[in-house]
Amino acid sequence: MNNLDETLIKVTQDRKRELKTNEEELRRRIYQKSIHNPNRRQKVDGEMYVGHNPKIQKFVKGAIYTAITVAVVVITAKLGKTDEVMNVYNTRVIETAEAQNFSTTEMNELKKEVKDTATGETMNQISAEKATLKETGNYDMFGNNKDQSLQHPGDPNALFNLSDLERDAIGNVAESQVEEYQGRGSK
Amino acid sequence: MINNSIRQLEDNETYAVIDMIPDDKGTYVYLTNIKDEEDLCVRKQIKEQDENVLVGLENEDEVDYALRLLVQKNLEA
Repeated sequence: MNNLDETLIKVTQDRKRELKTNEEELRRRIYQKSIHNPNRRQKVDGEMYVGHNPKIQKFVKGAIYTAITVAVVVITAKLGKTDEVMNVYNTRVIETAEAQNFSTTEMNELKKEVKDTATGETMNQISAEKATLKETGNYDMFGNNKDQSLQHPGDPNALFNLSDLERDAIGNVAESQVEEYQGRGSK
Repeated sequence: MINNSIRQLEDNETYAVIDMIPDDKGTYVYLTNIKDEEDLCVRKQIKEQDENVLVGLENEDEVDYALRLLVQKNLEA
């Protein structure tokens, strides 16, 4: 964690109580409104600028304070969620390998491989798997499995509760990782 | 004279420009809904054939990057 991350977390603790909108909604809304969509292309006659008149300046002063708080909440939520996803992923890899009676040497090699793989790469694989699972139509809009018998129990100690969709995607990627390791070992 | 410090976006809400940060990819423009300060969005002003155009960002990673720039600039100020 770099210095900015630590600063962000401290700032969030102090300020996020002031927000009226919940964190999940803030995240959803800012991504939804900011990411490119052809309809969002607007010509600007001249240059955009921060308003100068006193009324706008007063608004901007307050809005900047709120915007920083919103930005901090969104960034720290992402950092925390990534940590949570990676923790669950590491656990699932180990559980899968244990179920297949890996030797201690194999287990250590696999753990090292998982540790050496860039977090971004693993997160991308999990995102791709989530997209594939979503297309099955087995999950509702919140990522809950429609078949209640396949729902994952919530973890009361988790900072970020992951949906069934996220947990299933993590499980599938973890299994693929173990299979890939085995495939290479048997050559 | 055109007022480029406010902008109506595709949701028909009016947003005020609260900050702008130039970067290699263009200038990030931070906009806040004038009716709801917590409704923040980020766009990018780029040049296309000598015209300024306001576009959306590429993905979540770029939004996170732009938000970090905003925090960094204002925490250091």
